[in-house]
Amino acid sequence: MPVISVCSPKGGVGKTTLASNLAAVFSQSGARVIAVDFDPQNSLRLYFGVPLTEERGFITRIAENGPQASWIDAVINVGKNLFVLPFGKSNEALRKQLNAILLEPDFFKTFQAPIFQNPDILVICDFPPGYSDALKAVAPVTDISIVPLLADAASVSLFETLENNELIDGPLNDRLGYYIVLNHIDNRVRINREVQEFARQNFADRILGVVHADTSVQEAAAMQKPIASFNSSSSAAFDIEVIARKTASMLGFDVKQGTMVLNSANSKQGE
Amino acid sequence: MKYLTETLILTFLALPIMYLMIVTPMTAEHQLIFGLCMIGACFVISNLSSKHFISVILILVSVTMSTRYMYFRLTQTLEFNSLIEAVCGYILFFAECYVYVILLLSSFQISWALKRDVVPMPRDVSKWPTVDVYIPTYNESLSIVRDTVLAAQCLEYPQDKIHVYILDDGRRKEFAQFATEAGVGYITRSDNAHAKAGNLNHAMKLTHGELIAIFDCDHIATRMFLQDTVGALIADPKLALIQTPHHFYSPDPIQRNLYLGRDIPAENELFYGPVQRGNDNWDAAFFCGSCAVIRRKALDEIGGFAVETVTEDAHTALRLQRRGWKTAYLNKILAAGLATERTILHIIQRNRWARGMIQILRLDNPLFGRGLTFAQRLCYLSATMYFLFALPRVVFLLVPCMYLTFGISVLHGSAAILLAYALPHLFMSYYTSSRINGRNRYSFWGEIYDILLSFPLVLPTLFVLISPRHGKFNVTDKGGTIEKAYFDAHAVRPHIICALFLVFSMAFGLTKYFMPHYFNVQLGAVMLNIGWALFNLTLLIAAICVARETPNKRKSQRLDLDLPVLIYQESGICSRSTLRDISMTGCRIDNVLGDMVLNDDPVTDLELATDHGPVNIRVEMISNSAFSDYLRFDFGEVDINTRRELVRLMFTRPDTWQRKPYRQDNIIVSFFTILACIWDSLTSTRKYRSKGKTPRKPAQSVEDVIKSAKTEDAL
Repeated sequence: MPVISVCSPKGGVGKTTLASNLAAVFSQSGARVIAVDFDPQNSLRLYFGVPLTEERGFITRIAENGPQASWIDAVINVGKNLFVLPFGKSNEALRKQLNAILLEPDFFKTFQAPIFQNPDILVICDFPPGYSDALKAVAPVTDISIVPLLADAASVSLFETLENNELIDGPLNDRLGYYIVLNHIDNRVRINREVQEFARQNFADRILGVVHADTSVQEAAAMQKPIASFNSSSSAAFDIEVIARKTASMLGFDVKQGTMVLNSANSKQGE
Repeated sequence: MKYLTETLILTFLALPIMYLMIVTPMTAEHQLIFGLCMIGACFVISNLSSKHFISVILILVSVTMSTRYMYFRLTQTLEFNSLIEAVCGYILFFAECYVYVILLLSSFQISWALKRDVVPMPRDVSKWPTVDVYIPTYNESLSIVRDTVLAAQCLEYPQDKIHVYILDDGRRKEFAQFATEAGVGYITRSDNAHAKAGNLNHAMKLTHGELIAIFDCDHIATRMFLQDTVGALIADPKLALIQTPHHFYSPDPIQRNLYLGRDIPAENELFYGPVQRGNDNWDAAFFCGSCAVIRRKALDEIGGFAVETVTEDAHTALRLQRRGWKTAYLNKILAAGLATERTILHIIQRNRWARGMIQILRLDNPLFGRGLTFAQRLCYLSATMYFLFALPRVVFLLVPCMYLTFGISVLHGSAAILLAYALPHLFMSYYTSSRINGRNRYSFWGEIYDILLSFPLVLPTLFVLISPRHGKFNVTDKGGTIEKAYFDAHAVRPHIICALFLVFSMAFGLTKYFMPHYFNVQLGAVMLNIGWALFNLTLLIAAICVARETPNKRKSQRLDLDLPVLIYQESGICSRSTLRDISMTGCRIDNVLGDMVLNDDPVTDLELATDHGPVNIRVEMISNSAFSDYLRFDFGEVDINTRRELVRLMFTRPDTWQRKPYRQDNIIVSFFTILACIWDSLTSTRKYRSKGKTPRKPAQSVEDVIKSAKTEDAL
């Protein structure tokens, strides 16, 4: 039932990485997760080992079965409890058609209800940078928006953009609102420390967490492996887990068995 | 003062009984029975309850028994057959009188130890007074002073109300440079008149804080130091100074060379516990030169720190009290420093204390002069007179030799009656002090500390007693290392000679014992003296063992600290682990990298997650086995801001120096512990504290982060 959207006013801040890793963490904890890619780059699937040649996605469903087709058939199972819904190979005409469909009110509540209104499924949506029609269309069904930003000087102005609801000319969702994740933090860099300090002083209640710069994430992605199996002590993996747990508790998240139990990334050293 | 009235009434009612208990003459047999009865009675009431009132009764009984012994000595034992016996006999008697007076004074001192609590600071920060933090230094190396200064900067106090100053009497360029880099004041002067006191007085002319906090250059303060002490000074405008304990995070020579890792209270625990708390009860706690806050107004009134003696601290306090100012002692460890590194340095330091206190005794005797209450006079008298212990101590050590070797009888009377009087007196005073001070000083250890200092102090104390205006301030060297074990025979040469003499006397005495007709001696007296000599010899050997310097290589203190840490590798991989211990120069963390530790991807930096935010340090790995449980790192060049954070992390947490109280003393156990210490020292075995191996958990789990986020919403 809960829908998490991962979006950002800025590109290259690690949205797709964060979305895919959150999906992995939630699925490991026993939740059934679908990661939905709203970015025409269609790259989210690659984080889950979907082959490059696989071109299907919800947009190809629209091309084949019309605007009201359910997207559920385009969902690919990529692991235990873990599914991905790729954007699909698209062209300009198809993307225009999609945008037209998305503008229909309650599109996700009606036609895509099996995914977006399903009590058994946690949906994590990845969006292209900045404004997109998809982001605006998903907003009414979204429970929480996670906004990764880099801790650099450019981000400081973006805090204001978010605070003033300027990204989609309205709130990113009607429920919990937006939460910022400061991504790629390297405390050895002074500007990183200063921006964190700035964020802590001015937007403390909007900061969900920080993720340290850690090439384990990229290395793991390149090998299409979970981070923990590449580096069981990865600091980024730990940080993402913290963010996932906080998100779950904010959402009042209820996995079938009742509580969510996460595999601690540190469980190895605890033994 | 709980039970003071009761005690006074009780004492008054008991006066006739006490009088009888003191003066009634008895035969050896009766006296022995009487003594045993008193001991038995004390056992019974002591085990009834641990209440303070019982302790007070015990003190009264113990003092009465000691007085009875002294009365007996005065009236029955001072008959001598020759001049030499008379001379020796009276020397011993006067030594005993000294000990008796000290016993009376210290009984008074410790009878009501005040338990002072921290006075909270006013909520309104504008009412907080301005504070100058003085860190006087003369010849100590910057490596010692540096962390003290950085810790002072970490003191939690409004930044516009605190100023830290290095008072450098060494006029050293690198100190001035360091002060600039760190952002603290630097004060120096053209001469070194009046040593530390002069240095402080000079700085007082240049700064303007309402309060002055003083830290010796190795005393690193915890960050709540000011907030824990200043409150009392705000609450009571007549309070001139508040002193806190001097705590040492490195072992003193006695701990290192003789305790050998055993959990025995350090030498200073007694003073910075029952004694100062007892003083505080009578408003006579005195300044100890460091870890204290003093009111400038009060100092101005007495013309600054006292410069007449080499212990400016106690003398300054005495002067303040003569002007009606109050003093306080807060028994909470808020700072820690380096203990003296070697036995000889310990002796030199105490030499200065002894000379200074005797100077006060001679130049500004607390018994006389204006302004003090009777109780204050007694407390200050006790503190100053204590340092006359050297000569009496030597007398006690050598007395048994007089009889065994030379046949000089210094006590008139049979061995039986002497024992019958002495034993209850000795036992009761040990027993009482064990009950009252047993968590701060174990039985017989005080004797060892005193014996260690006794011979070297005899001449200096006598000299100062005769000529009190001469005396030079000497600085105690600290922060050195000892690479290899060695025996500092020079420091304890007189002790060794004395020990040999004792052994010789005992052997000679034994000869007499087995040939009594030939030598015409009393068997009882021989046995008594041999026993006494053996006891002396035991303690003397313990003191000599202190001079067997064990290695003390680790220059910087290493603390166990579980803390989340990030490991940065050259490739950009950043892993999370747990810090296990840390010093200012390196650290040890859990090895979570396993086979990822490759020589072509070395660890370059660590990030410590402290309460005060992340601290990044460049490191070099010194052990990189993929199979070891821990990774060890040396810190590279640490800039001053990082170093300050390390100091904040390691030394300034309010609970940094908290420890469990020592277990209660047991007289017999303590004696055997001393024997074991001697044995281990002679056979060079070192007992390491066996720290219970606790299962190692990561310092911080995901749950911990979420929990802490809920409370403070930290990044």
